Parts: sequence; C-alpha cells; structure tokens
Amino acid sequence: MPKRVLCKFFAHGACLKGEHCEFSHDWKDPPNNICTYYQKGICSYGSRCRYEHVRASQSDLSASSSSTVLRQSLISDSVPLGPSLTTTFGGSVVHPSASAEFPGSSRAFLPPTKQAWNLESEHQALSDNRDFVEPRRVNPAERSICSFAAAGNCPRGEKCAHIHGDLCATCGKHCLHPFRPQEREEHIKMCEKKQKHLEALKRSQEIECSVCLDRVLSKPTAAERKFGLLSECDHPFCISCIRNWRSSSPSSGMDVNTALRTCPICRKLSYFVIPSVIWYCTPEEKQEIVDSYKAKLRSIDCKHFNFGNGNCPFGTSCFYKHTVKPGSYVWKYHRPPPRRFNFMDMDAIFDVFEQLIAEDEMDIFDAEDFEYDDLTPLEMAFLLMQQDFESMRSSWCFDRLPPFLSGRRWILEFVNLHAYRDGRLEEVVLRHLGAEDGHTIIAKNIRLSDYLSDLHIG
Amino acid sequence: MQASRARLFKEYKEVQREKAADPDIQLVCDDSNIFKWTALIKGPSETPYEGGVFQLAFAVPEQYPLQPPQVRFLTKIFHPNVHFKTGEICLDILKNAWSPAWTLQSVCRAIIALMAHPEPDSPLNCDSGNLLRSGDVRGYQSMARMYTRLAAMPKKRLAARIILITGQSNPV
Repeated sequence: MPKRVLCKFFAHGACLKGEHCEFSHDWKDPPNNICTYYQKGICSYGSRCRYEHVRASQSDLSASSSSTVLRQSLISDSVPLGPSLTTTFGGSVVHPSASAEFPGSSRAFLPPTKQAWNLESEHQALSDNRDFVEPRRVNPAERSICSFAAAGNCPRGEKCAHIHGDLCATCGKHCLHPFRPQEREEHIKMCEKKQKHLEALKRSQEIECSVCLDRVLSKPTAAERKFGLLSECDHPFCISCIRNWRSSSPSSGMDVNTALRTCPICRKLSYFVIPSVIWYCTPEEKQEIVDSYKAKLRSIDCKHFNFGNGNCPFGTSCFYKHTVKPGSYVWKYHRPPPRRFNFMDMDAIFDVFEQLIAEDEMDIFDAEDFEYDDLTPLEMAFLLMQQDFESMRSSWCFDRLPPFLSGRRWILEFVNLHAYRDGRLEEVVLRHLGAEDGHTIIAKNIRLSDYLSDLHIG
Repeated sequence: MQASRARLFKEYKEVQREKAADPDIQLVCDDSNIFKWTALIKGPSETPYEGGVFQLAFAVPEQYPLQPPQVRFLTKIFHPNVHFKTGEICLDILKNAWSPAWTLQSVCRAIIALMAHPEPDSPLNCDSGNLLRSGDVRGYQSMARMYTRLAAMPKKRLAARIILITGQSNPV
C-alpha cells in the first residue's frame, strides 16, 4: 500500500533504498504531505510548515469523499491546534460513513499519523482523478506553498500538488504565498532589506581604512571586519584601528580633544565611534546605523552605574541603561554615590587607623559596628583627617571643628565627597549634607595630597 | 608590532607602485629592517634649497602608526625649524599633531612644504630664525643657498663651491 505514496527521499533526489524502497518512486504518485506533528497536536512550525496541516478528522472525512461535511468541519474547527483533537476524534464531527468504513478507528485512538496517510492512499487508489482536487478543497490560505518551487525549481511542474508561490521580484524566487497577504508583505519587506544590505556590503568591500591601509572587510578575523564610523565626519576606518588610536596614550603633548578624538584625516572632533559591518552612502543610512547602535546600547545595563550603586562618569548622557534598583544608593539618596579611589594603598591607611585606635584617640568609633568595606579610602582619609584637624585648620572655612566626630554613621551620611580627577590627585569638595539647606559647602578645593602627606600616608 | 609591520609593508608597496608619481621624493627602505627608512627629497623650487638633494632618516617606532616616526635631516641644512647639528625637525605633525592617517610619503611632502615655508617663530636654528624675524630675508636666503651648495649638491661642483666660499668671481 505505501507503494502508492511518493517517497519523500526520492522526491528530494536522495533515496538510499532504491528499488527496495517501500514507498513509490514514481512521480505520478502523490506524496504524503500531511504534517504528522500537527495531527498529534503541535507543530512547532505553525503556518510556516512545509507539510499540510490537516486535522486527523479531516483526513477521515476526505476518505469519505463527502465534501459538504468537510467544509462544515473546516468551519466548525476554527481553533487550529490539537487539544480538541480527542473530542473531534471522539465522534461528533466524524462522519458516519467514515466510522462505518473503519469500525475501530474512530473510537480506538489509532495513531492518527498512520491512519491519515493510509486512508488517503486508499482513497486515492479508489479515485485517481480526485487526488489532486481533494487537497485544494482546504482553504488555500492554510496550505503551504511548494518548497521546491520556492527554492527555484519544482520537478513536478504544473502537476505539483502544492500551490506554487508567486515570483518575488527582489529575490527571483517563487516564494510569495498567493493567499496570505501578510506573509507576502513580510517577505517582500525582508527581501528588500536583505538586498539592500547585500548591495551595501558589496560597495563596502573596496573601502580602505586610512590607518592600516587595508581593506576593512578583508581583515583576517570577523571582529576586525567592521567599520568604525565617526559621528561628525565621513571618513572610513576599521573599528579596531580607530579605537586603538583614540585610546592610545597621548605622548609628547598630544591633546585628547585636539588630536586623539579628532578624525585622523579631517581633524573634526567626534565624541564616539559607531561600529558597523557596512559602509553607508547617504546621511540617512548613517543615521539609521547610529540610531540602531544607540538603541542597542540603551538595552544594556551600564556597568559603571551598577543599578544605582556605582558612579557612571557619563552621567545622564550615558548611552547605556541606567536602571535604579530599589534599595540601591541612588534609590535611597537620589544622588550618585561617591567615587571610589584605588590609588591609595589601603593597607597603609589601615595601619594608621589601627595606630590611632591603639592610642585610644578614636574612642568615637564603635569598633564592632564599624565596617571597613563601607568606607572609600577617601572617606577614610577624611576620618583620619579629623584626628589631626588643628594642623590644617587654615584650609577650612570653619575655624572650629564641626561636630563631625560623634559617630561613624553620622559622618558617612553627612559628608559628601566629590573629587575630580585630572591626572593624579584631585580637588575635593566637602559638603555638609546634614544642614537644612542640604548642600552647604563646608570646604572646597582642598588638595587631598596635602592632607595625606600630613598624615604620612599619601 | 604586527600591525606596524603590516602597515609599513603596505606603504612600501605603495611607494614602489607610485615611484613616478612624485619625482621629488625617493623613499627607500632599509634592506634588513623595515623600521628604518631613508628618503631623498629635492629642495623646492624658488627657495634657497632649489637644486639641492636632502637626505632624511626615518626611525619608525613599533607603535606606528599610533606614534609618529622620528625624522631628521642627514644632510646639513640651514633652516629655522631644523637643528643645525643634529638635523632634528620641529614640525607639529611629527609631534603633537600627528595623525595615523599620515604616511611616510606624506611626511616627506610635509617636510618639503616646511622647507618652502619656514616658521621662524618656533626656531630650532636660532641664527636662521633671527635672520628671518629681523626681516633679513636676503641674508637668510644667501646663507641657506650657500649651505645647500655646500652640503646638498653633487661633488662635481666642488670648484664652484670653493669660489663661492672665498667670494671670488661669480660661480658658473
């Protein structure tokens, strides 16, 4: 019986069984094009499946060759997937004649796959002239198009049981479904996009980077085969070359803003570089690349911001996403946390610290609830500074020691330190946040290095 | 290291290909070391350096092209922006205005342009700079021309040179 069903391996031109194949190797025989997964309940390809999505009950009905009932069942089965399969199978939709022909099948849950094609082939044996007509009865939008024709060439030509798609003008393939307008539109859109991309890629092949003098798209590794677009001018570079140049350490008085961040060719200042696999030819295309790059970055969490616990140097103009997590520093205090400094040797600070404690000068600290981790070196330096306050009174606006030293928590909450790094050490602004008006500056432009050298730890 | 080597190799090929394009510049790479180059440049016309051929030595750093090559004159030259003894050149593009888009060839061109347009306000050769700054263009030109004849012209003019130095009769 399976001899009457076209072997699908043969149809692909690759049946290893040859003459011994249990399926037919005759083009005239119809293939079994019913999706078995669909009949079992779930086909993950959905509407894109190359096989026909025919319900188990439908193939029963087609066997009974009662077209009116077929239509009815199609209308009644508006939900396409299979949890309802058992119920339809259980009786109500199945035509009496079908159950009469196969007394056991309708109630006994035979594997629907086997049943489906058995029935079909038997039916086809009965009436040869109907086999191509029958599948067309199914709503044409539900039937998939012939994948051979879509790939370029269908060996069955006119006799093919599948719908042959319309010609797509862009890709030159018969892959437009005649009855699914939405799919058509999608395909045309995607095809045009692909075509555009290909053309751009072709144009980009010849473009050379002015730093390495190589063609950007003929670099050895895929990571290198990318352009680095500058926001302000239109000179092409490899992404690696331009990034290397911009991040290279300025030597012999090279200024960051007049040398490194400018275009090596026209010296226009650009603040960022956009990676792209293609080169653009119109400003609109460039804008598109820039926009999609920015959109991509906006979906990535900023690692400097660290969900509100870190201090992002780019602030509000950062390209990355700044998500404030409940409970984070920003969430609590509505300002970025003080920057952390790593230029000091923590051990040296701890040494001084311990000395002071040993000398019993730091009785203000409750040693037990003191968490070293909570303090930045800078904060710690200021804590220490309090101990030696007399020697540096001149730098302060206050003559008297402010009541800082009543406890560690107090200090951490009431002192906000801002440091600006330009090269090595920095100026510090010390704010009194405990005051009613919030941000009173107690002292500013203190040279941290002076304090540290006074403390002999800097 | 690899990148600089690849780039220099590209430049070498480019130089070979376009030898005829710029007859004023002859760039030659050292046979054994691609980081050492020499160039012969012709003095620009309508300047005191006209007719002279000047030799330049290039020492290319490993970070090239992220760092500029070190260039100096091997031929003695009287020019406000070239050190008279060492041949060191004061040119912004070889220092803080360097850009990786420059090539050895274009650096040569820049040096030729510098010879034609000296910058007496940032002199390495103060004598020459002072001459220009005090407005003695003629004095500068004759000094420069003399050194060009002395150092940058073929030896067969030796006789003429002697005449020039001793100030006897008009040479050639």
